[in-house]
Amino acid sequence: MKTTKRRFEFFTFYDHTGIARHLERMAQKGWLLQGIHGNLWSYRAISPAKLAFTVTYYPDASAFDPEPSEGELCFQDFCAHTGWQLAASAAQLQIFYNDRPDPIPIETDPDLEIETIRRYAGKTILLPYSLLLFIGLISTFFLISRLLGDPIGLLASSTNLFTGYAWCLELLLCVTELGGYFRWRHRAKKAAARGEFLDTKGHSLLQRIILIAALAGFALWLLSVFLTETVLMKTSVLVTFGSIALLAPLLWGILRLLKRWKVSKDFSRIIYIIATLVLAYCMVGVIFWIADSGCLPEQETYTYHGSELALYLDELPLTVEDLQPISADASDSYIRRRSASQSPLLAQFGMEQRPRLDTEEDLPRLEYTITLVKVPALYDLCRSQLLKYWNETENIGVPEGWRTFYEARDAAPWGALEAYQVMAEDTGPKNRYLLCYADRLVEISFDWAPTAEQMAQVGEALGQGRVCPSPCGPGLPVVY
Amino acid sequence: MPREKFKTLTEQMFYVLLCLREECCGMDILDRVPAMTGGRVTVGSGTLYNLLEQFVEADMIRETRVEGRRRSYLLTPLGAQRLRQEFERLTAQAEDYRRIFGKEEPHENHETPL
Repeated sequence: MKTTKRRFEFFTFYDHTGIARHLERMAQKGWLLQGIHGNLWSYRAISPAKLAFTVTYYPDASAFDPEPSEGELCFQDFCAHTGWQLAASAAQLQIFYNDRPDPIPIETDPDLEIETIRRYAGKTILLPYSLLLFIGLISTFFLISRLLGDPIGLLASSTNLFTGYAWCLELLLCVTELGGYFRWRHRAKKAAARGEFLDTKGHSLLQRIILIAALAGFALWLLSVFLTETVLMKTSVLVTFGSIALLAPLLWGILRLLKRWKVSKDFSRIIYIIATLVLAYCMVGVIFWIADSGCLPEQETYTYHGSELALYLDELPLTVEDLQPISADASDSYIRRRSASQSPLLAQFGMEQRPRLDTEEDLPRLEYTITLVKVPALYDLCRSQLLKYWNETENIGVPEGWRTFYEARDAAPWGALEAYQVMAEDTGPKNRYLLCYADRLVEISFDWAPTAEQMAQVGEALGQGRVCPSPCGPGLPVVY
Repeated sequence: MPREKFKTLTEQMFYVLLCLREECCGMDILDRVPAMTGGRVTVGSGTLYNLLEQFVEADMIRETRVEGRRRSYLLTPLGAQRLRQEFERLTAQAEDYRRIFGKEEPHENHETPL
């Protein structure tokens, strides 16, 4: 028969009555709390009993104390004198149980109870929560700004999406925890003025929902990283989360060792902070080392004026050679580069073909970006952003007569639903187009004026077919 | 403390200070207060611990002896003065009551003689 049980418990930090009720129910089921390690609480089997529990706080205690202080032990002695046995403690949190019928409560003065909780919260809870709230608010502000200004950049990146999602969850947690605490305190003071205690009301269900939502988001993001991102990104993610997974038990071990050696509270805190910084620094160092070393696939290079430059030879769905005749020698003088950014909502693929810097021949260039809209509801938003770029963003601070704008063109030659060409007020039409297809928007730029035949080729190559991550290389999209 | 600190004493504060007219330790106080009041007043262990800390901080009591974790306390002149003030306040209240109701036992539905 099982004699111990471990459970992940989630409680609001000030919810002492909620915790006590939960532990009373556990005791009635035959489980008595015996240890607290963060959110992992352990219970030992007992005969089912009706026990009274009290959750209280000893504000002067610290997670860095090598052992309970004289004062803390004295406090526990007082409690023991009235029948309250310590079930478990974690830093300031002290949980007692009592098997006597109608025991004298540990707290008999509501004002003092509020004051004790205020001191406990003020020492360890409110500052970190307030900082998180501040960072959460700033991040949410930037998230909304980006959503308004550059929705494609935000929504086409799994990392951006997950970061924004995580900050929103974090903000929700901080607001409910801090708001709940101050609301309870305000009402508890009013009740105390009448000589009454006020029970706390926690948000443990909400905490669980937030955790599950965060884990689900994290799992989706990881999946997306491993399906679509570059080797460097994948490696960085692996190293970061691997390091965090190692860092947590390592720091826990350091803290245990410091306690065993009976190192003073203040000195332990300093060592702990230094160890955290050093280990985090090492983690970042490892990521940079991987990025800079031979751990990643070698990048082909070429030399130009003594500098070594990356030579990208990615496969492109549409090349200059597809559109016009180019000699084999000239074809070898090109850099062909692809980039991709994807999320479950949008994907954006950038493709570029340009001559190497060491090429003397004047070769034509081709550049295009495909924005694949996976959620049709986002199509108009993306189209507006792309139109706005040349109609508004590029004209900020530009005097009249020098501005640019998109002008509608016949979409039929491109096989598109809509087509727009960039017009400059001073020089006339540019060879830059925005082509709207059923599920994608293509921005394409030539350094020559495309013929009707070439337009049709563009429509065939880029305006249809499926865009998916390449099976032959990470982050490399294939359009077909 | 939300109330103006120790200007008036709660019942629990009053009896804790009363116990400390003689030197005694926290656990003695936990036993003496209910005994002194016939069980009408009890002081919780957490409440007592905090009260003792605050009384020492306010110089109303002083630590007299430490035997292991057992600390004994005694009322200081300032504590005695505060206790006396509280007694006088309560006495004044009791006298006001007597003046208005006389020495009779109050009975239900008594009209307030204002």
